[in-house]
Amino acid sequence: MNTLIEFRDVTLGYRRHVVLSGLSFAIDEGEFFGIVGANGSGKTTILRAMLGIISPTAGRIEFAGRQERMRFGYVPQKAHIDELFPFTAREIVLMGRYGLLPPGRRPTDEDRRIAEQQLEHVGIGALAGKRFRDMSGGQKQRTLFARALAAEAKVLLMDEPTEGMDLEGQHAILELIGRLRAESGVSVVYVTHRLNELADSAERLLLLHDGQVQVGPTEELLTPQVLYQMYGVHAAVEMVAGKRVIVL
Amino acid sequence: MSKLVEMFQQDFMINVLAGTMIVAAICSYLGVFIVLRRAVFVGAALAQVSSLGVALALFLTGILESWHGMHAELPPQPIALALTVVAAVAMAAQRREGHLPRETLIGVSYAAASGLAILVVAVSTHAESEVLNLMFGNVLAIDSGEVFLLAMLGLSVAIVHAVFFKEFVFVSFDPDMATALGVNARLWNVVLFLTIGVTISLAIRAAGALVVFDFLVLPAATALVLGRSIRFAFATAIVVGVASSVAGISISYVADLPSGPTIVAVSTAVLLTVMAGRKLAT
Repeated sequence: MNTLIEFRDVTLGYRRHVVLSGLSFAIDEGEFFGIVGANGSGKTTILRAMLGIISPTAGRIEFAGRQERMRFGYVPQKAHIDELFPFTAREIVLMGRYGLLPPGRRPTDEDRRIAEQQLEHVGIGALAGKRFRDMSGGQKQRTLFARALAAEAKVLLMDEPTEGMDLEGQHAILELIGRLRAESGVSVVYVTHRLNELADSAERLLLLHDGQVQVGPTEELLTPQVLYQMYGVHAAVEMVAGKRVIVL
Repeated sequence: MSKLVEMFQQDFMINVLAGTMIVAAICSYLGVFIVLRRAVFVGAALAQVSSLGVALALFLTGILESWHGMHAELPPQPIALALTVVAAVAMAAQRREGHLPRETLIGVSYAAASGLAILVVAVSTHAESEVLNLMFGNVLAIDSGEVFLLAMLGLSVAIVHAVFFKEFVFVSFDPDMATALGVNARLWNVVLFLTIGVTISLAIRAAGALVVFDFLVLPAATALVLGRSIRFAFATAIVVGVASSVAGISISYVADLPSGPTIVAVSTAVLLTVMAGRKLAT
């Protein structure tokens, strides 16, 4: 399997403040990779480094073996979107095509068709003309998914995509990700602070806690021993209705 | 009514109206970006930086004259323009994870430029009224040369924004997604702020700081209260700005009121009316 993103002994931080150091891991093509940590643990910093918003202070990040950054489909937190902008769902999804257009070039009819198609794909085609600010939390998240898909990138980066959602909403989003992966083989990097959310869906995990970093296949990390070593709590990992869950 | 007819028969008032309408159109359009980016203070800060540039040019000219008896005058407008552009680029290029938030840098620019400009005026050898007029402009002093300059400015801004509208909107709305897609968000932010900086610097000389700041905020706020779509917001802001400028100038002429504050009063009345109408409608 080809490696799409590789962190090689990377140190990340802001000015003199080091957030994470000695970070080494790789994300493969088609993989569902979870980054899990509490607020302030550095998970968003890793995401920002992948996106190219910040640069490593040491080490290097390679994209498909090269240092030139690749295009990502990015799903930010809903709260990140400024609702003062009176955009419709259609307009927001069309932005996913902008990275494919040279500066000064307007979106074509084909770009508009793809934007509409992606809205259909995530199940909100009928809401294309609705303003983003007037949508429900789940509809907003689906709109941001559609925008990321419209970019036709090999990797989707998702920052707490189920934040503020109820159980039903969380389930629907994870179902959607599963369906998208099955259809297109896209890689997913999923950032969350809830370990249980990814216990059954991620193929590999990067756990961050109090400066500790653990990377590995989900089944190897989600063991009572590793969880005790990382978090200092006695937890069991059980199968419930065919799904892996962590029980405290 | 006869006074209104008289106004349109005066050549200088035609220049005033034309100049103010152009300033209104450009600033109201750019104001939508400023209000959407929640950077309203940018207009005030850049206006003060521009004024500092004018004050510095006159101050340095005075020093050159007193030291060497030279009559080499430093041109105020290019120096004001250069200083404003530098400040605009610094504001646009500042990283979010810097020591201080961008809003703080804007506030520091405003306070420092305002204080320094007043100090420079105080020690300047030029007459204070002359310096203040150059710094803050006067709508009623717009001549045909300035109308031409403003028209060229409007044309340039219109061309740059017609071509790169997509980039400016994208990096204003979601710079992280823009970066994720390989769009150079910092570059486009700098270009956008360059157009804002140049516009503010040139518009202030013609219309004054108060009027320019009014056009940068109130028509955009009105348009966004009405806001059905992003394109509607830009178009509405321009219409509201231009209509407020014409109404303000006309009322000030007929009622013998100061023109700048009258334009601001009209813009405010339009915004309050729209807000009240919106409240009633919901």
